[in-house]
Amino acid sequence: MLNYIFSIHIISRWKNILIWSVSMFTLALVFTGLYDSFKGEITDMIGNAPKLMEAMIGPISEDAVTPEIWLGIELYGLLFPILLAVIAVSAGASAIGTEEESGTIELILASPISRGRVVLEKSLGIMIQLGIVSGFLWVGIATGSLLFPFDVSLTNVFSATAMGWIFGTTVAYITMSIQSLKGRKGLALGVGSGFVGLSYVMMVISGLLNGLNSLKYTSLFNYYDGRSVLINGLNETSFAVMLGLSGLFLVVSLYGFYNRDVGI
Amino acid sequence: MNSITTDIPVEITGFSKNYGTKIAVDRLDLKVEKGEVFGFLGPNGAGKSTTIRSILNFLTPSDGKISIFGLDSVKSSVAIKNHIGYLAGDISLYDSMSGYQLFKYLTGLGKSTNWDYVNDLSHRLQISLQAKIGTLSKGNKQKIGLIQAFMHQPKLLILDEPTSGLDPLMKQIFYEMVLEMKHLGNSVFVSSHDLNEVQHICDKAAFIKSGRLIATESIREDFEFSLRRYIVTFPTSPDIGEFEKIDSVSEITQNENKLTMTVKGDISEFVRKLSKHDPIDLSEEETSLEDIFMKYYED
Repeated sequence: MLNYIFSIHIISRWKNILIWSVSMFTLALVFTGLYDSFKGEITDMIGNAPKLMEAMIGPISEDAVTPEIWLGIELYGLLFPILLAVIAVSAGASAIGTEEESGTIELILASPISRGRVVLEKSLGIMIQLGIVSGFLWVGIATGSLLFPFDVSLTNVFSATAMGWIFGTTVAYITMSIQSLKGRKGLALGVGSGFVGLSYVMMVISGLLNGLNSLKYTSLFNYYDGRSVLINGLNETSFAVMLGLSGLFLVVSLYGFYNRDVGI
Repeated sequence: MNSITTDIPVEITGFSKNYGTKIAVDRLDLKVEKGEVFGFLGPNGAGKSTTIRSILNFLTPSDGKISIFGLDSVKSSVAIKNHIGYLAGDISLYDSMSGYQLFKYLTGLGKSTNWDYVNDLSHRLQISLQAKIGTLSKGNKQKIGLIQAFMHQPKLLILDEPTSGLDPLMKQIFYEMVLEMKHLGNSVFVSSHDLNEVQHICDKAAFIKSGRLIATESIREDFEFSLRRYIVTFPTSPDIGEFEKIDSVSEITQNENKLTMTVKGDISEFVRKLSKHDPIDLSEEETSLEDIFMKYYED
């Protein structure tokens, strides 16, 4: 395991990954456990939901509250993607950025490997890191469905989790591309966070103003839409859009890191 | 394209590196021969690290060409590293790894590690490879850095301030390691502030200042960079003209009965002249490396 850059990326962040994974697992258990007690209140809330709330967390179904709808409102609507975005921005900025700041990048680049391999392995490390953390949310829900009266489609939960994972990966790669182009971790953190914030604002505005509805296509949250996936299953088109964006920004990272000075 | 085409470890031709409008290195020409230990001297900010980082393609030359065994440092940046061992100045290592884990990791990245040699070096440098690097002293981290540079017995070693943090005994062992490499026909390119070190291990030395090459000097056995600045106190005000006549003496300043002067090379004539004036005090002022080689090459 010590032979690869991506494995060192994971090992060096094991505490961070462990804390986030346990947090996701706990969140999942809490929300699956609370469902039976609070589903009535949610039904009342749905009936009186203001438009702003719908704009913030997505369309709210007026059907009877199911575990999928409950998870969509409480967990997958906003909390899960925002938490993943936080992890992703940090991971994207620090993957190469921390090695550059500490100077250990010189150890790597003095070895007979290409800069392209460094970027690709770091990218793989990020995908695995986000996959582990996301996976624990699914495991938590699966565990909750065994412990509590929570009859949910684990396939759809898996699909929604996968949408979150690719959403996080996209955010991380956008952030990493800024770091790779400019070599500045702080700038990448700022741009990555700003992108997530702007993306969320676009989704809210497009939901509030009918005339600006098409703005939703500029928001990554629109493609993520974990709530719909929980009910309708995987949206392959949205998944492909985020996969494509991830690929695009991976290419930008490769270009940026390959063509700039390192260790000035 | 990716195999060695010449025996010349380093050939730098017209190399310049600019950071915006600032010229860090200006049209540098330099050649390191096979089996040579080459010293690279200069004050802080002279362009030593920029040159070294450009050799390793961390930085792209703004102009000129750097060849490593005939391979272009930019186009064949991966291939050249099969033949290079590198120790960065003020090296950074992974604190959470042990030395052994670090070497295993670097081996995974493509270094052809000679593990018997690693064990031999760790024994000679008296460093445990099992301890976490984060728990080691600066000197011991430097030893780990040295081992990772030497561990694949590369044809070219590039060492930036290699003895920083090492005690005198360990410095001696390092000098032995360098000579062993030389005897294997490998070359060493070493950046240093320490003139004694350069005189001790190098066959040749280049001096760089403000990004420009000042001189390249073969280090002969009898060659010695010697430049001292003395402050002499006399019982009465001395005749400054007598000291001005000595070839090796320059930059004489007088302050009442106190003379300050620079002596280059052999000090015997200076001492003879001095003894005739019965000085009551003699002290030596610290002279910087920059002062020393600039004085040597100021003409």
